[in-house]
Amino acid sequence: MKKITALLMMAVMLVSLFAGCGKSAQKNNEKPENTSEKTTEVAKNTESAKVEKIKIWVPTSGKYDDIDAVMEKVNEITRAKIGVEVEFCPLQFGQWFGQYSLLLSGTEDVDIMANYGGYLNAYSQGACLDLTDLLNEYGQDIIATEGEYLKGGMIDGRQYAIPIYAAYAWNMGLIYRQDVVDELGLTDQVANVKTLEDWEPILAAVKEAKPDMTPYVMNTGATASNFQYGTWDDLGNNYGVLLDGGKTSEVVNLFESDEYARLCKIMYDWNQKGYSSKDIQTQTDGFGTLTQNDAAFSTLGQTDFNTKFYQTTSIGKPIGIVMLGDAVGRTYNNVTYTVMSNTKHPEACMKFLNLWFSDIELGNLIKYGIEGTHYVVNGDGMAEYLEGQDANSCTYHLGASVSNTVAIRWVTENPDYVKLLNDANSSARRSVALGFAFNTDSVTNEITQLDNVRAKYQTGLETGVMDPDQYLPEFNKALKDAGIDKVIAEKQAQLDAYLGK
Amino acid sequence: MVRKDLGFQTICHLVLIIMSVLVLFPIALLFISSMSPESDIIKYGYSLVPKSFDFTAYKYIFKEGSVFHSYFITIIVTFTGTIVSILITTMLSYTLTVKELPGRGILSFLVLFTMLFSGGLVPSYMMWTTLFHIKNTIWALLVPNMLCNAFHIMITRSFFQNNIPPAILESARIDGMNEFGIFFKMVLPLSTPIIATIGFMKALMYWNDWTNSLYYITDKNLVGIQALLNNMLTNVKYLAQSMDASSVATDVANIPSLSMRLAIAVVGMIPMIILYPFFQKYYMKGLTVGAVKG
Amino acid sequence: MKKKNLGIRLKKYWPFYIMALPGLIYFFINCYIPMSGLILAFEKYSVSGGIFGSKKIGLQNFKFLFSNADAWIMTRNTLLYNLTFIVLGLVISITTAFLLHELKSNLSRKVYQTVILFPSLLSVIIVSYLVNAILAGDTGFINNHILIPLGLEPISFYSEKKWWPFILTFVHFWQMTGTSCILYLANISAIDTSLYEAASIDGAGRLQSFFKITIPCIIPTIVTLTILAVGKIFNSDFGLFYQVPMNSGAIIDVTQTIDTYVYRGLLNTSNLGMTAAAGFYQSVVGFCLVFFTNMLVKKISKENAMF
Repeated sequence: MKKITALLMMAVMLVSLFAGCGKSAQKNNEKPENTSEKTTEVAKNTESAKVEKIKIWVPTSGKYDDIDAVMEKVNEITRAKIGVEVEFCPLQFGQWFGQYSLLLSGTEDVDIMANYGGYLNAYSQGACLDLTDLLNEYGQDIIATEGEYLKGGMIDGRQYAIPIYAAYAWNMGLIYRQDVVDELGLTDQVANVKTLEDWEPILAAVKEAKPDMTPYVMNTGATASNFQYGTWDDLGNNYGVLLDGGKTSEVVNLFESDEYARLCKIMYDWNQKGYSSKDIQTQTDGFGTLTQNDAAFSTLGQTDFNTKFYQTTSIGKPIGIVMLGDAVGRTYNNVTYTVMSNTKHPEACMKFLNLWFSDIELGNLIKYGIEGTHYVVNGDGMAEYLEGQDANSCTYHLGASVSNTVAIRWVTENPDYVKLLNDANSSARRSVALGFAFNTDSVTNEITQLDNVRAKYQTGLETGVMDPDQYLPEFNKALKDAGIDKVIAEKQAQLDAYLGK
Repeated sequence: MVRKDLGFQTICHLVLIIMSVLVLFPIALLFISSMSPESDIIKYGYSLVPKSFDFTAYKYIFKEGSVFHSYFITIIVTFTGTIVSILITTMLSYTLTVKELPGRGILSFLVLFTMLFSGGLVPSYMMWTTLFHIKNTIWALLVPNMLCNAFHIMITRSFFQNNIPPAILESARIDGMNEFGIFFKMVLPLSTPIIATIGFMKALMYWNDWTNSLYYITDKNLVGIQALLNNMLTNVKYLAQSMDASSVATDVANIPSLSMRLAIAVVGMIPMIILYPFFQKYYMKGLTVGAVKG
Repeated sequence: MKKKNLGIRLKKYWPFYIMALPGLIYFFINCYIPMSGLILAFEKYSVSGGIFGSKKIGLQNFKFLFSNADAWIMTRNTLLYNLTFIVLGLVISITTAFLLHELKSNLSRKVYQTVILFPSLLSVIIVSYLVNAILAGDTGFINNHILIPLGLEPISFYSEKKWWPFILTFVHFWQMTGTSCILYLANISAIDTSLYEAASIDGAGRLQSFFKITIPCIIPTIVTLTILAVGKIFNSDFGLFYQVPMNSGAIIDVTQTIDTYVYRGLLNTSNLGMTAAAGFYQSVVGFCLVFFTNMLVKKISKENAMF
């Protein structure tokens, strides 16, 4: 009895110590910024009626230990300009995807939410606020920056999401190690590559010269299909696409097309010849990690005007690209910001988004932190880490932004990025389906079954591990049994209605 | 007699040695690979004989400090949770063994039912966050789905029914002891095997739990060691899937290396390994039957 | 008369109710309140409606579980794997516990037991890395260090279905045996040693006393564990069936269970109603089976039944 009592008391003490500690630990974290809390309180008291507080949830891969200090500075600007205070709630990517559906359920305190991988889920649950009127009233800068690309967030003519302003025009392309190409004297040959078949001799040369380097690997490991970013406009999901990249509006079955069969055959051929690993289907690491360790040479992926620069600096090895078609502006936009339908501060949200789209100081703060503490501006006007700090030791580098034009360049980025971005976006050909959003409510059952069929065949076929002669017909039959024709018909009907407007 | 015994002992050892080898072999791979350089693992796969040693992963872990903090959190949560949980479980199980208790059948059924039906993640999450506000508090690690478990109730009840002779309890009642006294002074001491058993199971549950952290904890100071590891593993999975590359500051440098993940896995195993023999002592004791039968 | 009796009995047993209170309150809060959320299975969830106010759509959310060619495969897989795990599990856990118990040396018992416990401390993703390390086509241990040196053809495990029932069963027991034998070990240790002495005096051999004494004494535990396992027969360890096969499409036919099917189907769609419907379906089946099994057990030996 005594022992038990003693143990229990110890347990209770520990928990109460920690329950308090948990909260005070948070405060401890803010200790250097303790004064900031006080100033916020004071400021709030003086303008309490006017200032609205909103919460924004974003995923990130960077650090945000100092987020309170940064938010204080951010709020100085937002309070002054639009009478709004924001609180960013960042989550690491892995946790983001685990919590995303919980955040969407509407029970959490969310005002603005980032959406990765499309916002249609949020929309079908009724989680997106209709922003059309708000946009017209407070969103001038957004409209000016995005222009036609705002369509990417519209459904039935009403605006439900604000897409971020980034590279819209892209196409499928080969991404490869430039230094290896130069070393093997293949530079000219590579410059003449126009189609996927042309790439084969390069792979052969690399395989022979570099036995430890796998000539072809998947871009993102086994998490996305090999042809995720194709030359076709996938209209949201790959069930029914515009094969010619959106020149016409006929929706066809991608998996039955000659183009798809051709691509799969090439992959199968490459796998048989040993240009890709026998284990390519279960590849855990992405192209970036593999090539950093000199274990991979090339891959297929989404390429646009900036890919070469971006990949080179983020991976740390010289990267080159070959685009397998012209850049096309299309439906597929990954990242959008939506306002929760049950928010209490709709105007404040729109005002903030608008400010974020136009105010460079705000953009810098949110993305990089406080100048002098988290980054410095070098002679070329680009930002970089402080002397002696790096991605791991710097205490704030959120990286979140709504527009890649509203922040100064980081030292590893292309200095001409903004100009090139605007040029590419405005001059690229656009798919006729730009802005089309496919509403899947009437075909949810078919889609769940189709997703399972795809899980069975897609990776194997697209990486060349499965023989297309045998498995492609099987794949297509299974798709038909699962109802792909119904989905395609539905998509065509919706697309026609959309274009008819 | 002795020879037979020796033969049997040999068989025991043989079978157990085979099992141990089967278990240890992948663990050895894990352990050795956590000490190998990243590029070797990527190019040549895991092997028992490393080409070279590289302790950067471990150096980083111990320098970084957050690993120690996570250890601390997990230890506190495991310790506290296990103790409170044992208390609640034994009390409820004991009640369910009393044969003439009114409503006993209903209560047993209600407890069992919770094992079969579940509202799912979203309703639970909504309740815990909006009604009880446990998000980002230590309670989120202690309470949801952890504190009491119908499975443990059932096996504890079973143990009580089959191993506590009603005779002792009856004689204690006749002597004038009250029910609480009987429970704490007689039943519990006689139940050390089952307490050690469910104690260990609960400790293991708390130690291994990372889903509560995934859903309810965003504050770095409350992340336990398994949650830390799993967050890292899932981050890697999603970072590899860098979608709109230019819109997310995904530095490949930020992706924790394979040897780092393996090192954390090794580190996450150690405390339990050390603690386990301590538990064993108790549930191997068995009952001191002699006194009772007399 | 009856009322008075009840009152008297309640008065007599009040200490027990007090003792049971914390646990019962916990179950109410943790399990029963959220259970009302099962209504999601019959709704199309919308933020404005919340859990209780969203549009009711009857059984529509359940359709995707049945109306497809794979429904039979995933159900078959789930059932077969679980039955195997239950039956083999009994054999392996009890045997291991028995062997451990019979060891003379305390030290070796501690060592063996600690060793077989290691795998249960590993996250399932790490386990999938380890399995991959052994089974991978190019760099895997089996291919690299066993098959090729012997001059045999390398096997592409992740593309061939026939290996996986064995691989998954092995991995399951690799992970689980350490913890599952603990309970049996505790129960076997609690068996009165005088029973064994009496038996050996009567001339019973080792094997005989195992089957005639050890097993009957742990029957209650076996029954309890089996009934509980039966209740989960439509569920599966998601990590084992999704992470360990590394989500390889070629072997889906033998690794797909109801849980992985639901996950794959709803990965891109995130439909709360459908997820709830899947859970509801699994629970209902499990419940019916438990009820049925419990009835059977009651007929045979009343006190071993669960309720």
